[in-house]
Amino acid sequence: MSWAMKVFFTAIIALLAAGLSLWSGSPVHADQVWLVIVIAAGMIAVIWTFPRAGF
Amino acid sequence: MGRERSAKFREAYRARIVGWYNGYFHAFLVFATGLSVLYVCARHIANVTWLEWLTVPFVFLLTNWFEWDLHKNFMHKQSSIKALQIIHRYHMLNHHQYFTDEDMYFHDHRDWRITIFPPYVITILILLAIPFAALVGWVFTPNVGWLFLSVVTSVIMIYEFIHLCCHCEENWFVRYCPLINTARRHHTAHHNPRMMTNVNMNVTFPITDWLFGTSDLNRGLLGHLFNGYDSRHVKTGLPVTAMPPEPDAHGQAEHAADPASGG
Repeated sequence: MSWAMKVFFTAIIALLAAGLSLWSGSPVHADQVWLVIVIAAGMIAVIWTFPRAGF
Repeated sequence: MGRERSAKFREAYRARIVGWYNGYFHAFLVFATGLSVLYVCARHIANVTWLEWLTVPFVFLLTNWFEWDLHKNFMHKQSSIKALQIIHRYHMLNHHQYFTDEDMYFHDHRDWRITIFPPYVITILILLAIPFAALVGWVFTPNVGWLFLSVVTSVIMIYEFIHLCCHCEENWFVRYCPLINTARRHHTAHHNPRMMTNVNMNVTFPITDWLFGTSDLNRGLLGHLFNGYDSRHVKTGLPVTAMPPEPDAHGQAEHAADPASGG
C-alpha cells in the first residue's frame, strides 16, 4: 500500500471513529465507544506496520 | 506454467518477506479485527423480527456475488483506475504465480503472507460496507444495519478460512468436511493458469459461479455446493487463455499483454 493510500485510509478510519464516538446521534452505544476507538487504533496501526512483500 | 516456474517464483517471493513476519500473527490480526467488529455489531442487535432476519440470507447472497465480481473483474482484470491496479498485481502476478493447480499448497506459516489477505484488506472491506449498513439501518431498522455489517464481516472471515483450507496440505478435515472439500476442488481448478480468468471465480461457495455459468461443473446448485472432490461432472471444452505473464521486479507483466484484458 502506497504512502498516500495509508494516509487516506488512516484519515477515513480516524474520522469515522471520531464521529461514532463524539456525535450525539451515533448508533454506537456509549458503553461500546471505547471498543470502537481501540478497533480503529488497531486498524491504523496495522496499516502502517504490516510488512510489504511480493513484486 | 509448471512447477519449475512456480518454484522459482516462490523462492524469490520468500526472500522478500521480512524476517519477523509470522503467519499465525497475520491470521490473528485478520480474525481479531473481524471478531471485534462482529462483537460490536452483536452488542447492538436486539429483539430481531423474522423480517429483519431476512437480512442475513439476502446479504449473504449479495456478498457471494461481490466476491465473484471482485475476483473476476478486479483481481483478474487490470482496472483502468490506478489505485485498484494493485489488486490485480498482487493477485494475478503474485498469488497465481505462487500457487498453480500443480502446486497448490503452502509449506509453512510464512507462506500465509501470500495466502491470506493483508490485515488492512478486512479493514477496507468493512469501511466499504459501513455506508451501506448505515443506509439500510436508516431506511429499515437499526437491526438491519447491524446485521448487514455482521454478515459482511463474517463472510470475509469465512473467505479467509476457506481460502486457507484450499491451500493447505491434504488432511482428514479438508477432505471430508462438506463445502470445504467442494471449495478445494473448485479453487484448485481455478488455479490452472489457462483457466483462471474464466472459471470458478467464487472461492467460498460457488453460488454465483453456478448462477452465471462460470463454474467448471455441469450440475445444479446443490450438486455444486456438495460436489466435494468429484470430477465426474467437470465440463469438457472449457475456454482457455494464454499463459499469464511473469512479473518483473516492479510487479509489472513482462513479455505479453495481460490475457485477462482480452488482448
